Amino acid sequence: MNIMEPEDIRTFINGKNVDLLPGNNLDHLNLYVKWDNDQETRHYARNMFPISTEEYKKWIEELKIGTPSEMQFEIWHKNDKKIIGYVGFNHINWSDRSANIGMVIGEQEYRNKDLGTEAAALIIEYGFNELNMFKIGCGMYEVNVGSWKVAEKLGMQRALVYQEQAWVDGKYVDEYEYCIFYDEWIEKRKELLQLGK
Amino acid sequence: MDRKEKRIITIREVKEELNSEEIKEKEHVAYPFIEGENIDLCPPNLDHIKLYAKWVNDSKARIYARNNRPHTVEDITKWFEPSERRGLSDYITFEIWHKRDKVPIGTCGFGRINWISRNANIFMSIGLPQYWNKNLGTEASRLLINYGFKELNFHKIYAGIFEPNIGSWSVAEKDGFILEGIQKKTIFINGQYIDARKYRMLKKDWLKINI
Repeated sequence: MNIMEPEDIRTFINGKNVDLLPGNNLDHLNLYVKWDNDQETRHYARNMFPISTEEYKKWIEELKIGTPSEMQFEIWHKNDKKIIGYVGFNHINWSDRSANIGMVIGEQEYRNKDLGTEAAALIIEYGFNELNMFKIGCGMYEVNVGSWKVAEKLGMQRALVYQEQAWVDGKYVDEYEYCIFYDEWIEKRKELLQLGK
Repeated sequence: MDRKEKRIITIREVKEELNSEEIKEKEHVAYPFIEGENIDLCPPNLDHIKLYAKWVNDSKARIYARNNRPHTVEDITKWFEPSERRGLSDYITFEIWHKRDKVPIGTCGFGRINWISRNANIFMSIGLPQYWNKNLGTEASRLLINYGFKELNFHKIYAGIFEPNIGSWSVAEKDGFILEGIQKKTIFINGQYIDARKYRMLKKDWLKINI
């Protein structure tokens, strides 16, 4: 299902190991639904309720009104020619020029290979360079070490710690908020884009 | 114009605002859900929608409430119409009712309620500037916090207040909220980026000051 015919691969942003393709592809609905319901994948992704294919479809259709307040890309593994996850902006605020990144590497064997870091670097560059954003952030639980390590590799600063903000695995845990401003990204981008290109 | 006179005129104005054709001459009735000393917290009243619309659009009252686009009366009516969904709502709104003056003066409540992690964002807006700086916000927030911890069984209540809105965050600090951190350059207001102060109150900390 996540293997595509060459003519269907519509690359929007080119990377080294991964490309970003337009997300919310109705042909791949079952894949998204699989990832969002998968126990390990959803573990730290705040998906605490099951989601059906119909609900997912409805959510996608509702997004297509006006300038998007959310944006989703598929992460395409170039070598293996497979969709391995998605990355996007949620809560885009066009007047504050800020957004939050959300990302899932849905296919387990592709985790811990710096592919998420590459995909996130591509989308941050897109946000600052093309969408004229001022600040890009992300949030995760303290126990989701992999996720905040990625944020730190991208030069994001831990801006806030929300104490006992979420109930995860039977206890209250802190939530971290990371962010990076445009001028900080200018400093960091060369180093990171070398990693990507 | 002295203070007292100004207040009376204001209340008349408010009542005129409320007295649309069908409810003229009729004393406004509130159905208190939580009773306080000077104010009550009441369910939102569809008869007062025009007043809510005025507050939401008012350039003075909306500035720190993130309302940077106009809202019609119809938009606001929709907020309060019963939801088609049967699930538990993730927000609760009250009207703040001034007991002596018998007028609604603002709204408050909980937003972004997370029923699993048991936390919520507390919000408050006194729509009528004449009632600012009279400790009514403090009273409303105490009633709400009490409701959140004692009835809704929250674990944490939090608030985000923009730096220049000193009145609001000094109320929060007076109420025992702890500064969790500063969210830098988070919103664009009056031509510049400003910081938000993030506050928290955990139930265990609230219990220490409320025994």
